[in-house]
Amino acid sequence: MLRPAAGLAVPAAAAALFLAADHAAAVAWIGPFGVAAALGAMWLAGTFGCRRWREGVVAALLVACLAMGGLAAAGRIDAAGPLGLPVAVWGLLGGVWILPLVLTSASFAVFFRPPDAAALKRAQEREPTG
Amino acid sequence: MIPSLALLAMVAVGLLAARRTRSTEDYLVAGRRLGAVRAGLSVAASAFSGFVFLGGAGLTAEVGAGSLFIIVPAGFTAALLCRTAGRRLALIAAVAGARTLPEAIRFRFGGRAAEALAAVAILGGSIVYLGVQLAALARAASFFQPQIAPGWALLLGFGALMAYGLAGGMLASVNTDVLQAVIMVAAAVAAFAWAAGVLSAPPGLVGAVADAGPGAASLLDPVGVLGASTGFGLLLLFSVGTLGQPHMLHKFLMLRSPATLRLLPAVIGTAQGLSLLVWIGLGGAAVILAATGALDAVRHTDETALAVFAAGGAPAVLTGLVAAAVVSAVLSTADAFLNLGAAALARDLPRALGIAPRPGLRPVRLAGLLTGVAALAVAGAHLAGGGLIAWLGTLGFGAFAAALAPTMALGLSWKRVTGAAAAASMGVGLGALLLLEVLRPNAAPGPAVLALGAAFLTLVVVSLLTPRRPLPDQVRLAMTL
Repeated sequence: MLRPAAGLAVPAAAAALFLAADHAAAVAWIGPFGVAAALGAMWLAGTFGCRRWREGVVAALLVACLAMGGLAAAGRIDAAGPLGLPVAVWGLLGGVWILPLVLTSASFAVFFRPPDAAALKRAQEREPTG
Repeated sequence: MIPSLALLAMVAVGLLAARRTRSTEDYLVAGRRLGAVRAGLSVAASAFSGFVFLGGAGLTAEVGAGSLFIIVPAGFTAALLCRTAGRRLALIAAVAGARTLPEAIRFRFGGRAAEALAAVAILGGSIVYLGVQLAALARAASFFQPQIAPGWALLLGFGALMAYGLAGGMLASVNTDVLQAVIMVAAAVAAFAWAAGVLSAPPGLVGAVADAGPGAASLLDPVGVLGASTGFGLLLLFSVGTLGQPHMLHKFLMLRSPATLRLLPAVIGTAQGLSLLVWIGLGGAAVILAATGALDAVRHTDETALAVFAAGGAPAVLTGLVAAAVVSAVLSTADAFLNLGAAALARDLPRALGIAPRPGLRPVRLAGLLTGVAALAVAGAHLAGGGLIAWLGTLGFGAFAAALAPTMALGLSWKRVTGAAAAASMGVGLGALLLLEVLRPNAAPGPAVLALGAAFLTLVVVSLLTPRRPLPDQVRLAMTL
């Protein structure tokens, strides 16, 4: 019960922040960080993800990456980065896509434990309906 | 020339697969033989439609950086999808042999209400989504070949889709998805490399927008010209809402074994990340070319991506490759929805109404034909109305999210969720979306986000209010293995 409640409460709070931001342009700059924190917290809260402490570490790293990506995308949009592309583009590519992709894919590959064939067979042989 | 060759290759691959389609197992779940690479590329290809290749650049030119909120979640949604809904669906398929999502829902919750509502949502959504894809194809074709009327282009795309999609079912769909994903990735990387030259050349993105005057400056704000709540709404919808997309979820029923899941996030995420380079590259280039007045001649916002190549002097080969990617993106999504709609109409709805589905492939193919014809009517209406593909795509995405995401995200893992709660959540999600769309048409993503929130809340509240029932052993094992 706690996990789904927490998972729903965090994005709801972030949504409230964004609604407030609509009326105050300065607060809009908080946007990417609020989003990053909301997503990471949602993952951390366990509604959609981690149940073990090691997954929690991955989730914390994910929050950090999203926040750094958001920072690069929002705060340095007028600066030119490598290859002449705006730092914002690199922030999006690196912080918001590539690192989270590597983190989440690698952690799933490491932590996912598929059932063995015997357990699957036992399940297939059980009564299908109650 | 390149798009035509690609289209012929897709039809050929699909027809070859159709020759190997002999059973309903082949037709509905591709014989349940998918490994990680095939499944991952198929998920990625069917997830990205004309919405990405045609709508993205136009939307970015129109609303600025705010459009990026749609694609930002791609870094983690693949793992999210596999971690929550995907592994449970793969286990339900392995344990109970479910061939469609409504079948998996019936297995998990029992009863007919949740199954029936899921089938209705999938059938209705498939017709709309398929219609949007056909309209996107017609619009792209008429841009490249202005002498072809959109109506004829629509019929051509419809014919190609029916040629292999109806004959080969999901087996043909998955096999063509692999080819389509490769074309999409190659085109997106090439387009980004070309667009990087436009982005980095003086005056650059920031300089061009600054020179265009104060009105254009807000395009580079964190949420562009969108409101902050719209930006967040898009992000929430395209992250959590991914869990309700049947064209992605259905692939988990086709896996060779649950162990296949291990590498799936990496394959899906990499293919999607590379494909989305087209959104960033062409979107940024579109903003520059629009700000410098080089993009004035666009007849319709959805033609922006293609007009960027003309305005920026891109080589013809690149333009052709991207056009082939547009065809790939459209058909890979369209064939998935054609088969999802067909299965819902021929099998899930009758069974939910207490009628035994007729055996064999003929009823499913006939249902596919009816789904396709209905989608053709939607496409014609869309072309006549002139709406934006990106916003209509967002509406379709939102409908599936509101109807199915709560049940897939929580219902497959949280044992306390009851059948009544799943049915109520789907009903509230769909009902709220339709009501809000009537009250505030074309206000995407607001209605979809509100409907998604209402559906999640309904699922939790009704689950807690309805009596807890012991789960059958097989269901309990599928939820805990």
